[in-house]
Amino acid sequence: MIALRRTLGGALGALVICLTTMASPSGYSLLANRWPNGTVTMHLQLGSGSGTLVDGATSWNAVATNALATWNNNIDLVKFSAVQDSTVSRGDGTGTNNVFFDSAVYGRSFGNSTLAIATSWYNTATNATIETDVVFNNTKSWNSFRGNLRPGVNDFQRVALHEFGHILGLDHPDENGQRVNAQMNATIGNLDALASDDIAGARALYGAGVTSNISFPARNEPNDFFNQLIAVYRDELRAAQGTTYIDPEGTVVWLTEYARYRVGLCDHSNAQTRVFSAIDNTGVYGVCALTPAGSIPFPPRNEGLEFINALQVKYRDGLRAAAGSSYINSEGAVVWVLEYLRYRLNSCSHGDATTKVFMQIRGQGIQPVCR
Amino acid sequence: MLRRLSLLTAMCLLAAAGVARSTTVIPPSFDALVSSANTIFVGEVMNVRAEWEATPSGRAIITLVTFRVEDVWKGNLGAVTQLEFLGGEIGEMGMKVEGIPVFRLGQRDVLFVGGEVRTVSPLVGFMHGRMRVERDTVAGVDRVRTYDGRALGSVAQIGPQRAAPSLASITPMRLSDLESAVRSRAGAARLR
Repeated sequence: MIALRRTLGGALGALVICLTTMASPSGYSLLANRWPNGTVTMHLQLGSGSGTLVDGATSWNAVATNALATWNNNIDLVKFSAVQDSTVSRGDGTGTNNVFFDSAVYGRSFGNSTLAIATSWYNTATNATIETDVVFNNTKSWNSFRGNLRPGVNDFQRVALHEFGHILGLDHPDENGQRVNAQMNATIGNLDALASDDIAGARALYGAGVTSNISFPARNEPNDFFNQLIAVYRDELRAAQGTTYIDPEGTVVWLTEYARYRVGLCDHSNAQTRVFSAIDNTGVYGVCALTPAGSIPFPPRNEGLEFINALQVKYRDGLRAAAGSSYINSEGAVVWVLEYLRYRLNSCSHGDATTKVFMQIRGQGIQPVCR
Repeated sequence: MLRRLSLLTAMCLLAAAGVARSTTVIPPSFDALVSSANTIFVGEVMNVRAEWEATPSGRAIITLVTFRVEDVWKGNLGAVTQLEFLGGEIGEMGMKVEGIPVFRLGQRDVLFVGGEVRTVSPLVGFMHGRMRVERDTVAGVDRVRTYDGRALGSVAQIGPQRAAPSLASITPMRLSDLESAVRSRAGAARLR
C-alpha cells in the first residue's frame, strides 16, 4: 500500500500532460435507469467530526451538499434536495436515499479495497430509479481538497461527485469504449470537478434548461406596484381584509417567477414545480423554451389562481408561515400582478404599466400595450 | 533518451491509474490479487439466480452465480461452486450495486475469490477479481480480458497502473500464461 502511494505520488507530475494526450472527443455513457423528473431528496447522514477540512469545509455534509449542488447547477428536469443531518432510518429497499459513513454496506463487508459504494433500486419495466444509497467506507482516510490527488488520503468531494453521478444514471465512459476526460471515468485522477463530458451526459438525461430570452423587471418595481395596489384596494375599493399566509413580497416574487416560467412556455404544472423548487432551495430551473417573437403569451386567470392557492398551502403547511391579513384577495393579486407584468413585458415602463392597471381597476377597460 | 521515454510512458500509465470507481475501488496489483485470494479458479457460469434477503435495516436482493469449475489454480474447490453478490433483479424490482460484475450463462471467467464471508462482492478487488476468458478460434487458445472487457496484455497491466482504454489493438494474453503466472506467484507466496 505504501509502495502504491509512492508510485501514485510520483506519477502526479506527469498527469496533466498525459490526460491531455489521453483525452479525445467522444461521449459519456449512461446506465439503464434514471430518475423520473422532479426532486430527489438525499438524506445526508455523514455525521460530525470532520473538523475543518483542507478545502475549508467544516463538515462532510457540507462537502456532499456542494457536490449535489454542482450536479444541480448543470441539469434541469431533476434536482437533488439535501436534508442536512437527517435522522431518517438507514436502510436498503426503504424508499429513502441515505448518504452515510459505515464500515459495512447494510451488513456486508466492503472488501479491503473499496472506498465507497452506490446502490440503486429501480423498476425493471420502466427503468425508473426508486431509491439510491451511497455508503462511504469509514475505515479509510478521508479529507476534502482540490487539485492533485494526495497520497494516503482520499478526496471525499471527487468521490461524492462520482457516486452522485452514478445516482443520476451515468456510467463510466472509459469502460464503454470512450477516451474522455471525465469525473465519471472508472479511475480517479487529478480532475477535481465535473468535466464537460460529465455535464453532457447528465444533460442528456435531464436536460440543460433554457435561459429565458425575456427580461423581467427588477424586483423593486413589481413590489412598488403591489404596495400601490394595496392602497387602491384599501382606500378606493374599501376592501375588507382577508386571511393570507403569503406576505406581499412573497406574492409578488413567486407570481413573477410563475409568470417567467409560463412566458418561457412551461405548462402550469411544470411552472409550479419549478417555482416550488426555488422556494425549497433545491435548485433554480431554466425556462422550458425560448419565448417566440411577437405578443408575449400569459397564462389564463384560472391557472394563475390555481398557482396562488397552491402557494398559500405551501406557505401554510410547508413553510409554517403564520396567518396574516391582506386587503387584496388571491384572485385580485393574481389578476393585477399578471396584468402589470403583461404591460411591462410589452414595453411599458413601471409608471405606465401601473397607471394602465389602475385604469382597468377603475373600469376603463383593457389598455393598449406600449409596443 | 530511451530512459526518458520509458519514464514518460510509465508515468502516463500511472496517470491513468489510481483508484477505480463505481463503487470506488483501489485496483489490486497482480500480487495482491493472488495473495488475497483464498481460491482462484476458471469457471463457466451454469446458473444465475436472484433472491430476496432480509437485512438488519430493510431488504436486499442478492444474486447467486453457480459455476462449473474447470480448473483450480489456488485453494480447493469441488466440481461446482457458487458465489453470492449483492444486487440483482426479481420481477419488476431491480437493485443495482454500481460496479458489481454481471454474469451470463455460458460465460467463462477466471475468478479470484477472497476469504471474507458476507461481502458485497466476494471477489478480490470487487470487480477486479474477475477476468473474462474468450476463445481465440484462429490460434486455438483461450485468451484473457479484464472485467470490463479490455485486452489484458500481461499481468503487469493489472492493478493501479492499469492503462486507459487504448485504440491500439492489443492481443490478450493466453489463459495458460495467466495460469503460469498465478501458480508461480501463489507458489512463491507459499515458500515465504
